[in-house]
Amino acid sequence: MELQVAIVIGTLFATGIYLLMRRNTFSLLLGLSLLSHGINLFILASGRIRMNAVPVLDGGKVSLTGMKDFVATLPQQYADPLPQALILTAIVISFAVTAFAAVLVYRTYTYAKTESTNLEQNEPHSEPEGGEGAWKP
Amino acid sequence: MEAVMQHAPILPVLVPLTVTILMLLFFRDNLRAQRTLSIASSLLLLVFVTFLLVKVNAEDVIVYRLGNWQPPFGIVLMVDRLSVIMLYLCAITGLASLLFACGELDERREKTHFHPLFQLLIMGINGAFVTGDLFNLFVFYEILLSASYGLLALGNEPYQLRATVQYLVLNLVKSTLFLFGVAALYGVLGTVNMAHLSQRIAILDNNAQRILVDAAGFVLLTVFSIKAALVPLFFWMPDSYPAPAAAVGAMFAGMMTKVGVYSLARVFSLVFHGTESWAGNWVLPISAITMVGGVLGAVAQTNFRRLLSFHITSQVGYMVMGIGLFTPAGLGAAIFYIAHHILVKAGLFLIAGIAEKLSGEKDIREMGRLIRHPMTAGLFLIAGWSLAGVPPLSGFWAKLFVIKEGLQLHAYYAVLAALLTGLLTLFSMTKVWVMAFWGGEAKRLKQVPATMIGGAVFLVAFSVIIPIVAEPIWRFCEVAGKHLTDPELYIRAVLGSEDIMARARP
Repeated sequence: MELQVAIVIGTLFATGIYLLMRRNTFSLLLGLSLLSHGINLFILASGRIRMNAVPVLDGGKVSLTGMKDFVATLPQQYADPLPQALILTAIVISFAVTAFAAVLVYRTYTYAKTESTNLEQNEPHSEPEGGEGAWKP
Repeated sequence: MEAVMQHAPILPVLVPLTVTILMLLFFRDNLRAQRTLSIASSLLLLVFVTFLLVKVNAEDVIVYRLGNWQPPFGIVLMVDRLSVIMLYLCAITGLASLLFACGELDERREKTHFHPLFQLLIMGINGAFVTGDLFNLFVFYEILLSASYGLLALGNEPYQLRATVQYLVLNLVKSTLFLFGVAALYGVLGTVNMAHLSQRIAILDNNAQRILVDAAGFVLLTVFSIKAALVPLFFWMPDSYPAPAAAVGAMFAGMMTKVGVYSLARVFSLVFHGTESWAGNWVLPISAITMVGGVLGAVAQTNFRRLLSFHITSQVGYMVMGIGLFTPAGLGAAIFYIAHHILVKAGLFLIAGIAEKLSGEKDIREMGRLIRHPMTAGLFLIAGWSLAGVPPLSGFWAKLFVIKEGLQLHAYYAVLAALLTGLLTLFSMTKVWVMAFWGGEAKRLKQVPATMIGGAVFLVAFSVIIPIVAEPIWRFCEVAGKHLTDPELYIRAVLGSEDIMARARP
């Protein structure tokens, strides 16, 4: 399971970074959202991947003094819920920022008439640098 | 009153948030009410932070547990002397920028949610200063960044949109790296609470885990270097900081990069205290390169605010040099420098705003004999000298403390860089003086509202006030620095002595 998750995270990051390097603002948006998916999976993996385990500790069974022994046996019986809470926060943030980025890119498009990120050199109505992959809204 | 003050550590976050919600719900079209609320919020913050200052002076570290969860399980806020100084500076800079904005912005821009966004920015900055865990630091970074995207694009001019796109993409990549660092630390150590992280890193004996922690440390160093605009990673700043209105630019220039410096000081003194090679091996050389690189960039500029942006980078170098020295006096000097720099740099950005308004130009060669407006010229003279470190203004004392500690620790190359940078800064300020205030073609000067001048005077006054009360401020900063070098203090304050999970292996 770890290997599959690692491969998926690596692929997401590689694709995301490749898209970021392109001079096309729409690819940029896609790249950024892929990066955020990759990092969310990475957070999930950082809490260890465990199947069929409860995410909540049963307070009745563990006395506070027995906590130390309990911690030693944790990995076998407990799925860590904290990474999911962290991911939830990260998803909300990246969702909002991506939405803002989409609007910003569209605003930029309407004035520059290009999706190229190289905004400084663009004449209005010039041919998009992105070539055949260019995005026409 | 006591019931309110018991919650003092969270008030710097709650006050701007409440004001924002009020503005958005009830006063969307009522500009006068928005202004009143904004300024009231800033004044209220000053009162609460003063209270926190008194409390911190007595208790050293105040820990606030949200929902009264036993740390490390819940969210904790942690206020020490460094946090209080930063909160104070944020309240002062915020108030001055607001005053300035009321005069500078036209009604259309001010109505387009300027005040709510500005309050959210203050909330995010304050939150970053009070939080006690790494993930919430990330969240507050995102809040202040989201607000800053809006403020940067406010006005909808093509050059602003261009700057915002660059700024946004860079910051999103930075956020991804930040999360990566936090997740890697969590994966190894099982916590995001800074004090708890520090405790667990200190007892880490597995070599493979140590390497992972070091890697996470490098990632976080990169993140904070981008935020603080240290030299290899500062390229985004000179493009984005001149783009917004001058009031917003002043807030960005004063506080935003310093959030990065603060995070660097906090995270590397507390969390990575167990790996001491950090500070000496990486931060100090970076600081030397930053000082010289930034100022060399500034010398070539003629756009007023772009020139000042390059100076931010070089000045941040001094602060990071203090952090890199990593002694109580070195960290204290860094904190003193932050206090001096935030006020002076925000003041200079406001002066640049006034100069732009007076002449209608952004380039110092086109401004044309601004000496005809003696108030602005006088303000620039004081602030520019203070930035370069001419005695007896605040910049001189700040540089003196940093350089003195550098000499004592035999960090000669950093001291040399610091002295050279001071000289070049003076040159650069002289250039602005000669081109914008003495030289050029005299054109008709436009009217400038009194609130704009008032905001600038308020900030520049500190360059004169700080030297007068330099000793008590320095004592305070020195104690703050001493506490930073002693993570046990924070661990005891946050986790308590009876903590059960403390020694459990990660």
